[in-house]
Amino acid sequence: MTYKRIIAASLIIFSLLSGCKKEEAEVIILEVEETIPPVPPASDDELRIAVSAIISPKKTFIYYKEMLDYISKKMGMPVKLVQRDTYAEVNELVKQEKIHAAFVCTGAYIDGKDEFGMKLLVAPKAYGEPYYYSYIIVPADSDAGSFEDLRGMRFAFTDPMSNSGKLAPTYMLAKMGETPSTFFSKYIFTYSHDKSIEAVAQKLVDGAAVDSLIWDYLNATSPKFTSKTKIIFKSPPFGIPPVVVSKGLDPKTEADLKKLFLDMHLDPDCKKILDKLHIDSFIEIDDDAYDSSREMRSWVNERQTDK
Amino acid sequence: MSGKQINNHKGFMLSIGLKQKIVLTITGVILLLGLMIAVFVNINQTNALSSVLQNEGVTITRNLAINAVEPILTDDLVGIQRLINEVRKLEENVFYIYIIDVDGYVLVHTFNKGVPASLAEINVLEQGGNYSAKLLNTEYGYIRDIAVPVDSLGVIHVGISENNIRRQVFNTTWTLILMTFVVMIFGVLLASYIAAWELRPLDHLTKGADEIARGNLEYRIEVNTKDEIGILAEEFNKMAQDLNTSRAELIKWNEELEKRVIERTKELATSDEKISAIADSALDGIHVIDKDGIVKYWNKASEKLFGYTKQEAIGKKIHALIAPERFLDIWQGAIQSKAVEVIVVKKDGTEFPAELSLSKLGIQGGWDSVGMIRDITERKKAEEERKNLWQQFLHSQKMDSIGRLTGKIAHDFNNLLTSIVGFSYLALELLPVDSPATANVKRVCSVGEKATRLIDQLLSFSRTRVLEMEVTNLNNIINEIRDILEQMTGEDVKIELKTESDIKNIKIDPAQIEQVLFNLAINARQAMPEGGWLTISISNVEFGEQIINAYPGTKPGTYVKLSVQDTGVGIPEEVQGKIFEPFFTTKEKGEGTGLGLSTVFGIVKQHNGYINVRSELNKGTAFNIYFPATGEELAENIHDKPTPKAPGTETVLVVEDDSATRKLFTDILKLNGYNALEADCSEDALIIFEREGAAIDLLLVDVVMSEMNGWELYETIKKKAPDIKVIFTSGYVDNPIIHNVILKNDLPFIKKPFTPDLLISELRDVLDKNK
Ligand SMILES: Nc1ncnc2c1ncn2[C@@H]1O[C@H](COP(=O)(O)OP(=O)(O)OP(=O)(O)O)[C@@H](O)[C@H]1O
Ligand SMILES: [Mg+2]
Repeated sequence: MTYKRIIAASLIIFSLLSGCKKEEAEVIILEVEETIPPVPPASDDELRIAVSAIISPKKTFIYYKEMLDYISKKMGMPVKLVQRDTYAEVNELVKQEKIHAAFVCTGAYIDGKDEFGMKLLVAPKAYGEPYYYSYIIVPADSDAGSFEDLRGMRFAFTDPMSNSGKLAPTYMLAKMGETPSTFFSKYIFTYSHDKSIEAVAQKLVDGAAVDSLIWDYLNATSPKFTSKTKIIFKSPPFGIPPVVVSKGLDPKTEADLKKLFLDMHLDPDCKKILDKLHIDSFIEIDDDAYDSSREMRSWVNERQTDK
Repeated sequence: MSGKQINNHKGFMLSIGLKQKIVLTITGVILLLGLMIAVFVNINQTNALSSVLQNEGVTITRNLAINAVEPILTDDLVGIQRLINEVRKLEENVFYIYIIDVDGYVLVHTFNKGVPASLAEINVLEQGGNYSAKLLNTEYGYIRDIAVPVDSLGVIHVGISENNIRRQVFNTTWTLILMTFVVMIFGVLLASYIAAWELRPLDHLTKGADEIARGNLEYRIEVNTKDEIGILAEEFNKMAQDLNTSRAELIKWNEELEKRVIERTKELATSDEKISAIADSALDGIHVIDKDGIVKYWNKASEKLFGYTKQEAIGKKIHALIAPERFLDIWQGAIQSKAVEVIVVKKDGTEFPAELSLSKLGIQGGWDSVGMIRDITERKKAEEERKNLWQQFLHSQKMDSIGRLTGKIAHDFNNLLTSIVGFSYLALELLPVDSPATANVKRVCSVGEKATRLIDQLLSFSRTRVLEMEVTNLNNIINEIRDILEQMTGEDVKIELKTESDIKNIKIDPAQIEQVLFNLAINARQAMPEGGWLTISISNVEFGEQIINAYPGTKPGTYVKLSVQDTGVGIPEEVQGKIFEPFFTTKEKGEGTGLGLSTVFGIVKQHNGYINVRSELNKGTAFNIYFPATGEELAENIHDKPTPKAPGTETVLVVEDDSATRKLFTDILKLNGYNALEADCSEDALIIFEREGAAIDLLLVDVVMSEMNGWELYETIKKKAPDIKVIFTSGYVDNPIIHNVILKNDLPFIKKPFTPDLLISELRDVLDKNK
C-alpha cells in the first residue's frame, strides 16, 4: 500500500513540475514567399524639407515635426522631413534638387551660395534680432576664463561647415596665428551643437564652440547639460541660419512657401510652435547679412589649409 | 479482478524478503528522485535560461533601437543594415533582425528572402509599450521574437534562437538521468551490500526464531552489533532464555496437570457412567436439551416412553420429537422448574398425558435444560376412576338412604296390608258362599293384593324384600316369559333374543328377575311409540381387577350379563343419574309412578349384581345388568305347588307385638285346626312356655320386637325344649338378625304380608320336617 502511495505522490509531483513548463510557442514558418514590402520610393507631389543637423537629428525631429506638419496643412501637400548627418550632405541634396527646401546653417548657406547658388527664402528672428553668435563654452567648473586658456586642451567643433561651431573659433585661432592642430591637443567634430554641449558638460572635451541660438534655447528649455557649462567667449554677431530653397523649385511653390513662413507668427496656432522653437517670426533677409561670415571664412581659408 | 491484482501485488510484497525490500525501496527512491530532479531541472533550467536569454535579447534589441534612430531619421538604411548584419554575426543567438517603420514597411532585415508577412503580426508591440517578447516554434527551432520601439519611427524585431539553451538543457537532463542510473546502480549495489551486512544479524534472528520454533530453546543468537537489530537479538536471546525456563516449568505443570486430568477424567468417567446409569435406571424419561431445544441426552426410559432410540433422538429438536403441535403453547410454558402436565406424542403417533418438569443446568457459556417426563396415564385413569367411584359412592349412599326411608314406610304399610288382606280372606272363608258380602270382601282381597304388590316393589327397591333364591339359568327364564313379553310390547316392537347355550347359572329369585325384565320391557315399549327393536342379549362376562375400580363394591369373577336394548328416544344425559330414583318419571301423571327402574335397581342390588345404562338421544337405550354366576347346578321342581294340607293338630305359640297381626295369625291357625297360644311380647311368651311346656310344638315369632327380640326368645326357649320348632316372621328384611342369623341358618321365615295359604303351607312344612 505504501508503495502505491509513494508512486501516486511522485506522479502528482511530476505532473506539477511539467505543468509549469508550458510556454505557448507560436508556430510559424520563416522561409516564405509572402514578405513585408520595403519603403516605397518618394512620390513627386511631396514637399521635402531638410533640416540641417544644427542640433542632433533626433531633437530636430522632435522640434521641427510640428512645424513641418503645419506647413503640410497649409500647403495642402505632404511634407517630408529629411535629415542628414552633416551640413555637406544636406547641401548636396539641395544642390541635386532632391529636396525642395531646407533649414541650413549659416556656414552651409555661404558654402552652398558660392558652390551652386543656394537660394535664400526667409530667416528666423530670434531674441529680437536676425543674428546669432558663437559661444566658446567650457565645463562650469573649468579654470579657463578665455579662449586663450584652452591651449593644449581637447576641443569640440560641430560640423566642418558650421559657422558658429567651426568657422568662428578657427577664425579666432587664425588671428592668434594658430590652427586647431597647433592650439589644441586634440579636437573632434560632433556634427551638432547639442552634442558639443553634451560633450563639454560631460567633460569629454575641455571646450567647444556652439551656436548661441542652440545654447540659449537649450538653457531655457532643458538646461540639463547647459547648466554644466559656462560661456567664456561670445563672438560678434553672424547672419542667422536661413531657410533656403533649391534653384529648381517652381516659383509658385516658392512664393507660397515664402508667404507661409512670413505669416507664420500671425497665425495663433503656429505662433505657439514658433514660441517653442524660440523663434519670434520669419523675415525676409538679404544675402548681405552673411557677409561677415563670408569674410571670416575667406580670411581663414587664406591662412589655413587644414580643415 | 482489480482486487485480485492488488492481493497478488500485496502477496508479492509480503513474499519477498526484507533484503529485497530494502534494495527495491532504495532503487525506487533513487530512481524517483533522479527522475524528479531531471524533470525539475529540465523545466526550471529551460525557464531560467529562456528568461536570461530573453533579457539579453531585449538588451540587444534596445541597443539596436537606440542606434537605429538617427540612421532612420537621416535615411541611412545602409548604416542600419550594416549594423544589424554586424550584430547578427556577433550574437550567435540572434537569428534575425528587422525593422519596420510606422507605416508597416520594412526598413531593414536579415532574412534571405524577406520578412515573412505573418511574422510582424505575431508579436505586436502595444502602444507605448517598452518591449514585447513572444516564443515562436519555427522550422529553425524555438525562436523568441523581441520587439522594441525605435522612438516613434518604427519597431525593431530581434529573433533570439533558443536552440542553444534547449540543447544545453536537453544535455543536462540526460546527464542527470544517466547520473541517476549510475547512482541507482551504485545505490542498489550498496544497498544490497549493506542489507546483506546489516541484515546478517537478522538472518541470525530468523534462524534463531526457526530454532526456537522447532523447540530448540537452548539456541542463542550471536550478537555482533549494538544497533536495533543487536538489541533485538539480545532481547530475543533473553526471550529464549525465559521461554526455556518457563517451558521447563510448563512441562512440569503440564505433567502435573495431565496426571490430574487423567485422575479427574477417571473420576468423571465413573461418575458420568454412574449418572448415566442412574438416569437410565430411572422410570421417568430424562432428557437434556440445549438452549435451542436440541436433545443432548436421552435415557432408556425415554426410549421406552416415546419409541425413539438414543441415536434417533439426540440432535433433534425436542418439540419436533414429542410435543404435539397443538400443545406447543403449553410446552413453551414448561420452562419454569415447576412440573406441568402436558400431552406428549410417541413415535407411533399415539398421545398420552405426562408430567414434565424442566430444570436449568448451568454449563459454561450457557445453559442446558434437564427435562423429566413421567407417564401419568395410570395416574390419570386412577384419578378418573376415583372420581367415578366417589360419584358412585355418593349415588349409592343416596340410594341407600332413599331405600331406608321407603323401606320403613313400606314396612308399616305392609303390616296394615297384612291385616287387611288376612282378615279379608278369613272373612271370605267364614262368609256363606251366597252371601251378598262375598263379592265385596273378594274385591277387598284383590285390591289388598294389588297394594301388597305395590309395597312389594317399594320393598324390592329398598332391598328389604325377602328373596326366594333359586339356582337358575337366565335362558330358561327368558324362554318362559318370552310370550308374555311379546304380548306386553305389542306388535310394533320386535323382540330379538341374543344368547349363548353355555350361559352360566345364577342364583336368583326368578320372580324378581321376571319383574326386572317386565319393567325394562315396558319402559322400552314406552320409549318406542312408533315401534322398533327390543334386543335382549345374554352373555357370560369375566370381570378382572378393573371392575373393582369401575364399580364400587364389585368383586372380580364370572358374571352373566343381561342387556335390554331398545331403539327408542333415549335418555338425556343429565337425567341418566336420576332414573333409578324412586318416583322419578318423565311421564304424565297417572301414566308412570317412577318406580319401575328403582325396583329394577333394588332387585339387581339385592342379587349382588350391577346395573348401568347407556343411552343416546333418539338412538336408543341399553340397560346392562350383571349377575354373579354360580357354579351350582339347577334345582329341580322348584316350582312345586304346595299340596293341599290336612287340618293341623299341633299347638303353636304366636309371639307378635302387633295385636292385629297376632289376631290374624291365631285366626288362621284356629281356622286350620291348630291350637294357638298367643303372647304380645317375649316375657309373656316365656311365662306361657313355663306354664304349657312341652305342649307347645312350634313358635311363630316376630323377629323385630322391643325388649327381647324373636331370636333371643327362641334361643332361650330352645335351651329348655331343644326340639321346639320355630317360624320367624317380619315385615323388615334388612334387619341384621334376619339376614345374619335367620336367613343365613336357613331358619323358616315368613315375610309379612303373607297369605293364609302361605302361612299354613309353611307351618306344615316346618312341622313335618325331621319327624
Ligand atoms: N327404555 C327407556 N327409554 C327411555 N326412557 C326410559 C327408558 N326407561 C326408563 N326411562 C325413563 O326413566 C323414567 C323412570 O322410569 P321408571 O320405569 O322408573 O318409571 P316410569 O316408567 O316413568 O313409571 P312406571 O315404570 O312406574 O310406570 C321414565 O319416566 C323414563 O323417562
Ligand atoms: Mg316404568
